[in-house]
This record gives sequence, C-alpha cells and structure tokens, in this order.
Amino acid sequence: MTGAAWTALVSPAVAVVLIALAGERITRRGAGFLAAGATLVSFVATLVVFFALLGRDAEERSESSTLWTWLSAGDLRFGFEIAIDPLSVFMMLVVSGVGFLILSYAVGYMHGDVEERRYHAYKALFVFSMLLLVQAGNLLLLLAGWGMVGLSSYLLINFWHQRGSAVRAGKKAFIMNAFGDATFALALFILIAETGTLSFAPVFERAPEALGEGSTLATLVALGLLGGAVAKSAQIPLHTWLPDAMEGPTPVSALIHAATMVTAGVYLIARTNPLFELAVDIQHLAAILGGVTIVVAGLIALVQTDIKRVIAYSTMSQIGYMFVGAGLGAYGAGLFHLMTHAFFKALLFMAAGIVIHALAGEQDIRKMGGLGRELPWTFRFMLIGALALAAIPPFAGFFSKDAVLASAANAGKLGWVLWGLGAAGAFLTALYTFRMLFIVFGRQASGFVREHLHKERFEGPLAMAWPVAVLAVLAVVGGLLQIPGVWHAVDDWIHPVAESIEEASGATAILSALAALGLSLAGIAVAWILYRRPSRAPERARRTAPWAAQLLENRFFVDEAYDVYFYEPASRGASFLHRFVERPVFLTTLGDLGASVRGGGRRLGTAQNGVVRSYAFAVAAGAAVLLVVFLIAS
Amino acid sequence: MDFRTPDIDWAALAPVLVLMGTSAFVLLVGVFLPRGARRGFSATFTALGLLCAAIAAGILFAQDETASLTLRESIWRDRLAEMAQILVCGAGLLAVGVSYWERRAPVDDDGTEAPADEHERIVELYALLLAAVGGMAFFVQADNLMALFLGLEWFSIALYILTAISVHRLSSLEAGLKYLIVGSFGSAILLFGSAFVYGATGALEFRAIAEASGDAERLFLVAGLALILVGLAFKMSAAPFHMWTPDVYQGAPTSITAFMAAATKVAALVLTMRVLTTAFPGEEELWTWGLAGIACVSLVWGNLAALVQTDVKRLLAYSSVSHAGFLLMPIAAGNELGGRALLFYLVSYAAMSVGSFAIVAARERELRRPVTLENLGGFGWERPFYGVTMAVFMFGFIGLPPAGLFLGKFYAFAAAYERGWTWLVIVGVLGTVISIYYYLGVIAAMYMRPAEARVAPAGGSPPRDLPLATTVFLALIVTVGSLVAADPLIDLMRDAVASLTFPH
Repeated sequence: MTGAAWTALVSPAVAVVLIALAGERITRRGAGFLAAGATLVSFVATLVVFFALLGRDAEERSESSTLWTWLSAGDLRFGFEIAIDPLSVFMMLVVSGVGFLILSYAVGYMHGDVEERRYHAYKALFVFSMLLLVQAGNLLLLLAGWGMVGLSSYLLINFWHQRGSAVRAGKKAFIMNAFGDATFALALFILIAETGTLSFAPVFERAPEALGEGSTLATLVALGLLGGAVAKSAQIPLHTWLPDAMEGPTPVSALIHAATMVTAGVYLIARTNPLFELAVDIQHLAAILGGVTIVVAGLIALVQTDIKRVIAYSTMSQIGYMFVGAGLGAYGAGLFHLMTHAFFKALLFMAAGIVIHALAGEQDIRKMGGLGRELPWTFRFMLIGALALAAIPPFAGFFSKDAVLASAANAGKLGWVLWGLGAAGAFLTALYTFRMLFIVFGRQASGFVREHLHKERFEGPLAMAWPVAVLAVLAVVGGLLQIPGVWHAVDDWIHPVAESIEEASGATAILSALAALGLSLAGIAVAWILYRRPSRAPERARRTAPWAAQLLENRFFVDEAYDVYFYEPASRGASFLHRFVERPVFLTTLGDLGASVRGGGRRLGTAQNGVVRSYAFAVAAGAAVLLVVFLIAS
Repeated sequence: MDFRTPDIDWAALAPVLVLMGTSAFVLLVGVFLPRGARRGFSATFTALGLLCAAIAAGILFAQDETASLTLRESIWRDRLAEMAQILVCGAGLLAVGVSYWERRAPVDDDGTEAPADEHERIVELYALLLAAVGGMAFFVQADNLMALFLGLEWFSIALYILTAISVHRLSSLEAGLKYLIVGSFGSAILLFGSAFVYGATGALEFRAIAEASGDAERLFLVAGLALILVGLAFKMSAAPFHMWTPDVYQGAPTSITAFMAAATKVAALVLTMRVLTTAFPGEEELWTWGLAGIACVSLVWGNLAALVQTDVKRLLAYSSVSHAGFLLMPIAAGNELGGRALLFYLVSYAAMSVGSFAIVAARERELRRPVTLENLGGFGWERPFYGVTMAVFMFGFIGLPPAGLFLGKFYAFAAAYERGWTWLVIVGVLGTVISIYYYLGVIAAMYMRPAEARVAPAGGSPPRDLPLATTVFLALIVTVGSLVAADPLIDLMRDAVASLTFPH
C-alpha cells in the first residue's frame, strides 16, 4: 500500500522528466498522453490505497512512510515522508482523478500550440506538486509542495509568454502567493522553536503544551498558517490574483484555479486543525473571511463580462463556503464541498473552454449569444454545471453547500451570521451563473457568433468532449456521497484526522436547506427576467445606482487600494532608495569596492609571474612568517 | 640464526598492495601487448584495481570498530584512513574515465602540431596513476613521520611525472619541471620540520611525539610543527604555499589535473588532521590559530586571484586554493564536528573537482585549444548535459544546492562557529560572496554569449566520448547524492573520525 502511495506521488514527476528529456523524440500529442497517463497511474494507485484503507478499522487508517531521512538534528528530522491517512487519500483522489480528466481534455485543447510539450510537462509538474502538498507527511514537505504548486501555477499562468497581460498575471499570482508562503514559513519557524519538530503527529501532540491554548504564540502560528491558506485559496484580502490568472490556458484554469490548487487552503486548515483549535479566534477569522468572500466575490461576478472571470469569481465565492465550513470546525462539510466543487467547477471551465475553442479564443460574453442551438451538448454540460453551482437538487452542489450551511446553523451566533452570508451568496451564485448561461447560450445568435463559430464533429475534439461528459455525470451524482441528516460518508471518512462539529438536525436543517434552495431559485428567476433576452433593466439599474456599478465593476477598488497603499509607497520608497542609497552607496562606493577587489586580484596575479624562484620565495617567506609567529606565540 | 619476520596485518595493507600490484601488472604486461590493445587493457585493469582497492577499504571500514596500529607503529588501521582511501580511489576511478580518450584530440596550445598518437605512453600513464593512488592510500595511513614523508614523496613523484606526461606540449613539460622543483622544496621543508620534531622529542611515532612533547625542547618542537604545517599546506595548495597550483593545473593534462585537484586535497587534508590531532594535541593553540590564519589567506588570495582569470583551468585552480581555505576551517576548529565536516565536504568537493575538470576536458577536445571563458561561449546550448552539470558544479562550489557541498560548507562554518570563531565564519562568508562572481561567470560564459561570439568546434563535432560522459554523470550522482543522502553520510563520517581525539 505504501508502494502504491509512493507510485501515485512519483508517477507525474517521472512524466515531467521523460517529457523534458525526450524533447522532440516524442510527438506533441505524445507528451500530452504521457502526462495524462502518468496522472491516470496516480489515480489508479490512489484507488489501491483507498481500498486498502477502506478495509481497515477507522482508527487504523493513518500511517506514514519515510523514504529517507535527509537530515536530523535531535528531534527535528527533515525526511521525505508521506502521510497515508483518510484526509490525504481523499485529496489524492480529487487531485489525481479530476487531474486526469483535465489533462486528457488538455490534449485536445492545446493541440496545435507551438509549445505544447512544455505545457504538458508543466501540467504534470503541477500534479506532482499538488500531490506532494497533500501527501506530505510533515509540515516542511508540505511547505515544499506549497511552494512548488505556486511555482507551477506561475509557469502555467504565463504559459503564453508572448502576451504581456499573461506575464503580468503570472507575476501577480506568484507574488501574492509568495506572501502567503512567507507567513506559512514563519509559522513553521515558531513551531520548530517551540515543539522541535515538524512531523504531523508529534507537532499536534506537543503543540497544546508547547504553545498553550489561546496564547499569543498559538495565535501567531494559526495566523501564519491562515495567511498561507488565504493567499493560496484567493480569499479576501489576498484574492486579486485569481481573476487575472485566467490569462492561462483554460485547462489550467480548470485544474489549478478551480479544482485543486485554490482549495489547498481548505486542506491546510483541515490538516492542521489541532493547531487552529488552539487559537479559535483565528479559526473563526478564517470562517469570517470566507463568509465575506462569498458575498463580495458573488457581487463582483454579477458584472463581469469575461466568461472565465465570471467562473473565477464564482470559484472564490465557493471556496468561501469551504472556509466557512473549515473555519467553524465542520471539516467534513468543507471538504465535501471541495470535492463536489472540483467536479462542477472543472466541468464549467471545460465547457467554457469548448465555447472559447469554438469561437476561436473569444471570451467576452457580450459578443456571444444563441450558442445553445449551435452547441447543444456543450449547453447541456454547462447547464448541469450551472445547476450544481447554483445548488439545485439533486445536483452535487446542493448537498455540499447545504452541509456547510447546516453546520453553520449549529455553530452559535457567529454561525448564524455566516449562515446569512452563505444564504445571500446562494442567491448571488444562482443569479450570476444563470446570467452567464442565458447570455451565452440563450438569446439570438449574435453577429460575432455567426461569423466566427466553427464547429467540429463533436462540438470540439473527442479528447475534449469525453472528460467533460464524465465530469457532468459526477456533478450530477457526486452529491449523494453525503446527505445531511441521512448519512455522512465524508465526515466519517476523515473523522480519524479531523473531527467535524455536529451539524444542525431536524427542523433547523430542513428550514436551512429550504431557505437556501428558495434563494437559489429566486436568483435563477431574477436572471431569467433580466437576462433571458437583451433588456434595458441592467442599464437602468446602472443608472439608478452608478456608484454601485462603479464599485462592482472596479472590483471594490481592491487592486487600486493595493496600488495606492502598497505598490506606490513601495515604488516611491524604491526610487528614493535608488537615488539616495543605491546610486551613491552601491553603484559608486560598492562599485569602486568591486573594482578594487578585481584590482587586488590583478595585483595578486602579478605575483604569479611564472618564475620558479619567486614561487619558492613565497613558500619560504610563508614558512618564515609561520615560524616566527609560532615561536613568539609559544 | 633465528630469523623472525615481523607480524604483519596484511589486511590493513590490502588497498595499498592491490594498487601497487595492479600498477606493476599493468606496467609489466602492458609493454608486451600490441600498441592497439594497450589502452583498453591498461584502463580496464586500472579501473578494476581501483575498484578492488576501494572495496577492500570499504570492507575494512565495515570491520574496524576500533582503530589499531599495525606494522611496527608506523601504519594505522582505522576508519579515517579507510574512508580517505575510498575517496582517493574514487577520484582515481573517475580520472580513468577522463583520461581514456584524452590522446585522441590532443590540446595544442603553443602552435606546434601535436601528434595525435592515441597509444603513446598510455600504459605509463595508468601505471603511474595507480602508483599515485597507492602512495596516497599509504600516506593517509601514516602513523610516524617517516611513513608520512615516504607516502608524500611516493605520490608526489608519480604526480610530477604525470604532470609532464604530455611531452609534446611545452606547457606540460614546464609544469612538470616547476612542480618537481617547487615540490621538492616543499618536501624538504617538511623533512626539515620532521627532523626538528625528532630532535626535540626523540620520537617519530605520532602518539610518542605527543607523549614526549611535555619535556621536549620547546623551540625545536614548535619550529618543527611550523615547518611540517608548511609542507602539508603546500600539498593541499593553501595560500601562500599554492603558487605552483595554477601553473601545474593549467599545464598538466586535464585528466591528471582532475585527479590531482580531488585526490591530493583529500590525502593532504586528512593526514593534516590526523597528524595535528594525534602528534600535537599539546600545541593545539598554535596550530588551530595557524591553520585559521592560513585558511584566511587562502580564502582571500584564492578568491581574489580567481576573479581575473580567463583560462578556465587556472580559474578552477584558484578555486581549489580558496577551497583549501574552506577545508582548513573545520580542521582549525579542532572539534569533532569539524572532523565530520571535513570528510563530508571532501566527498562532494572531490566529485565536483573531477567533474568540472572533466567537462573542461570535453570542451578542450572539441576545440583542441585551452578552454577560456571566451571560447566556452555557447557550450551550454551545444552540450546541454555538460552545460547543466557544469552549472550544478559551479553552484555547488559556491555552496548552493543541489550539491552536497551546500551542507558541507554549512557544517564547516558550524564547526568554526562551535569553536567560537565567528570571525572565521565571516571571512568564509565573504570569501563565498567573492567567489559567486567568478563561478557565475563560468555559467554566464556557457549560456549568455550572443550566438556570433560562439566558437564553432574545429573540424566538426568530436566523436562520442562515452567514458568521459560516464565520468561526468557519476560525478554528478555523487555530488547530488551527497546532499540527498546527507544523514547517513554524516553518520558514516562520525564513525570515520571516531578514532581521533579532538582538542575542543
């Protein structure tokens, strides 16, 4: 079983190396199949691990396997160590399973791109990094995976490096993620100093004593971890990189910025829950940030005109639900939503990818329309995704979102506030999702569509169509895994690693579900009224409340605020330092210093004149000096 | 008449005997073979001999829990010696791969048309290589000043000849002659120092010297110690006793340079640590400070001089001088951590030295000219494997991952820090900072020259050179592997230095 777990981890890395070494000896498509195949191997190996764990008692499902210990100093051991437990296997299933589907889809999507091989190698690198993140058996390795995920995300966002906007987006994502990596690393430093180890079990065991419950140190650790989680999961306030990241190819958006990487924050909170429970305030902060993100992202999504950005904001908003779940201690609900979200969000992205593909790269929904008749299957897939996203039963999103809300309803006063935010989010989600759906697929075909639409036999290459179909099935049935009040497969599964709080039951649960469902339906209804056909209503709304439109279209001015409060002072400070410190001190003084160092080297070179007697002299002189010094010193 | 043979532990001598036996075998049989068969024959048996010697040393290492003296108080049988023997044999083994096709494309640095005789003096080369390794294997076991001197001369004389073995090149002959003259001078100083110590203590054996040093004539003892230090520092090319190094490294055939850079350092440094800790524990104040001083001079001189080099072999020679400084730091620290650090450092350092000179050899064979930073242009793009590996080595010399030297340097600094010598750590860090300039310069030369500045290989691309590529690959494996397997390796080194008693 440990062998299977290692296979799952290593297989994508092998694919990266093979693609890099093979170069032009394999076809571009071959590289894609290699990457997808390696991920399939991971998935199968994960299934083996899963079933092996399933056959055991719940309490015996956690073990760890160390390939080798790199360095050890006392209790602090840096080893290549993986954890095999329900939580990591759960994440591995999602990552390798959805990853395999998306990598297969990418074979079709990227076909014909000049640098296809590089793309597939990066993609496999990402899968490896993500598996490293979720399989890591100690926090150091987790941080390594965390950083590598950021790196491969960066590489993929600016994959089309000829586009300036893509390069900028990649940089932005990398820098914001690096901020989270830094706080994460700082938290680990505190843990090393206080507990002397980074392996999961001993850290969690010693933390209550070493840090103390509710102490400043515990708060700092939790805050550092939360910083990492918030940055990686694009939650407020470190969320602005995600919409820009849509510059990457669409399969990248599906894999990294919907299904896997951005959910890593939720995984981190679930994984380190014993640390967060030492600083409950910070854990609640995570839930609050999630709740705020649900609504804010939902509002911004209402006015987006780029099909992928709409979905990107909805991703932020949905991860908000996961944060609410994890922040309130409902780890099972949060992770359940993570899983169903991976299904339907990847589905939405990939269906959107087919649309973009069919329209030769166009992403502006204002130019689209009437695609429902032209791309009927894509429309059906998109509709399934949209219904799941809007949490309409029996689609997957309903059960998982309901699980989060039901848990919130049972978490005291704060829970109710968050429940309110979540319910408002349900309305917004339905509204912006169906706005997009009606604009793109409903209405009359626009002139642009008539001119640019080029259809292939299956509305897209077969390689793109079948993964979408599989995801559509999963988005329909995936929710049945856990039904609040009926059974709790996910909760029970991860129970040994993270114990979830009880969710509301009875009347509260039913009312909560009905209320959320009602709001979702209302959202769809409003979208139907406003966006079924081109109407003036949105324009009128804009005119009555121009400030609101401004606020939303400028995404609450967060980017601008960052510009004003961080970028500009930093850039002013930098030019100040450049003028008054760098130029006088470094460029002249240190430059002179460097020149004189090189001059010193040259002078030493002249001592090296090739004449043997001077060499002998140097030896003799050195010996004499040493002799005299020794004699005097003794 | 009663003739009593001394009781000899033949096992302890096994590595040395294997090496000398193979050397004699290669030399005696090789000359009777037809010219065409000599290369394959001598190289194969040399490699086998080195491998067997390394295995023998490894077996001894596994057996020897505790150190023991053997052969009349002149030879140690302990893990330190065995570890050093393994390293030296490994360096020799890699050098075989580098030298295999060296004659096929001889370097032509002074305008004379070099005869491309693939078989010229090939048997002698391998026999001498084996003799040099054998000498070093003997040297690191030495337990008295006579054995020390014998071992030193043994491998030095072999190296003098090897340096000059490319007789068609004036620079090789010149380097050999210089090495011989200056080297003899260094040996004489060492011998002089040994005489002083013997005069002061009446003992040659290391521990006997330590015992007798209490009531010895202080003046002679200290003078002897200073001169012995100079002799050893000369061999490890620490400044200011390094002046022969650039000329010899540049002039010698590159395969021999590769071997010298790695193996001589290992032998000289390991023996320095042994002789100082066993024979002069009472004078530790003197030699720790003395070594720290030499380390500083080496760091400054080696790094500064390397900055302005254009010939890559000279540049690496000065880099070797600066690394002598880094390697002296843990010995100067005089603690157990330092002993471990030294050996751990040497593993990746030796591999990287051979590897980087091997890559220089690869370029040399393309161009048939000495390699300079100028004509290294474009090499990284033309030969991706060599380019990337060279980059790994250069980063490694700086002390960056993925090379084991990353941790080696860390441990070396940690040892000095544990001694309380923060200032030495600072000097080391400053030395590293300077070194970044020229190590990155090599990478920049390989990758960042515009296309028109690149030098096309003379006469098309050279034939495949599998032994060389294998050598580089092995060196890379050891370099990276020593980082990956850091923990077991450090434990191994702890066992290796267990037989020494450190003053701090």
